[in-house]
Amino acid sequence: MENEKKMITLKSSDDVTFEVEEAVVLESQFLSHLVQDCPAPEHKIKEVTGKILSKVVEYCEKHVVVVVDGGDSSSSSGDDLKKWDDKFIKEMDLSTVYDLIAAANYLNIQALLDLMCQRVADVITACKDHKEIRETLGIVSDYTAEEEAEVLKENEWAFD
Amino acid sequence: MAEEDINPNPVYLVPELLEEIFLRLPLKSILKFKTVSKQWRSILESRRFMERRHMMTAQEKPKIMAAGDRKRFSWSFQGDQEVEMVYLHCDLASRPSLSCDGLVCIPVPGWVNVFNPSTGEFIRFPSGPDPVKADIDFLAPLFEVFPGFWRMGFGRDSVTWSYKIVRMCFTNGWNILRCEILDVNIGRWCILSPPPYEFILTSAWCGCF
Repeated sequence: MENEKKMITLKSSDDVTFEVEEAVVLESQFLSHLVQDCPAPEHKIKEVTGKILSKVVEYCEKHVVVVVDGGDSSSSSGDDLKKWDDKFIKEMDLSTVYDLIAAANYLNIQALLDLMCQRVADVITACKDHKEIRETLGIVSDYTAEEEAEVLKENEWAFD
Repeated sequence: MAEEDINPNPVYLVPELLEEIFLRLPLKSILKFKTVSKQWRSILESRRFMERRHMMTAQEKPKIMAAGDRKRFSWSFQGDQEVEMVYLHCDLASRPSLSCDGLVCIPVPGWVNVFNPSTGEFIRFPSGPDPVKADIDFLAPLFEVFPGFWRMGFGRDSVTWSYKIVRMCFTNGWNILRCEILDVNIGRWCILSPPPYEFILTSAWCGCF
């Protein structure tokens, strides 16, 4: 059938497969080049796990549908999409967010990268000091006590 | 920090992607959170990061800086959706000033002030001795654009990426009497002799370089 949408299968590093429409794949710069250059029905993405790829697919499917449906780019579809994005990231834990950032960067999906990075930036901004950031993001400080005091002093004026 | 404080499940992100996140932080967080770790600090202070952030913020709304007496600002324009206002509560800027990348350089008698309106950082450098007055053209007092009859320029060195103030002083016959440069990160005037390049005097001050 000519009208039938072209389907493409994506396979994660741990061999989970996702059958998606070509339009969904085109959300990713990396995959659109891959699909163009190598017209196989199935593409293995070694760098992304099934868990993360399912999130990527979910995001891309949602964003493709809205763009197609809201052809006149009405503001309500934009608002809906934003609400959907908020919900999408709300219950995600940090390690999933990090994995998604890496995946969005690898697959070159700018909007998803922006969304995820902004999410972490918001978390960082909400922290009141460096100790809270370390706790929230699980960072081990490599400063000695003296070095830390010195850097703190240098940037003291930013803390008021 | 004690050993047991180490998070059992550290989540890791490569530095390039941390940088992507940091690009979206407000300025204040960037300054505040250099203390998180050495890795954070080295990214936040890297030239690459600063250049990228500068390019991003250059696309944001323009800032206008107004300077003057604090009391006069009580009724003033506080900015709107297109313009952000920054008020400098001093009368320094009623003097001729120089600017580069949003930094403002305001020479006053005895001092050269460099101000970053975005962060509120303010540094001043002593002007040091002015050239011998006898060599200066006194015919036109208005000719004194900057204190001490210096012609000044303020700009960023494209090699070292540091901000520098340059000043020159001329004799009556338009020969260079003195040429000095100050690196804002070092804070000391260095005499350049002779000036390392040709110049054509077209106006009362030297331009950015």
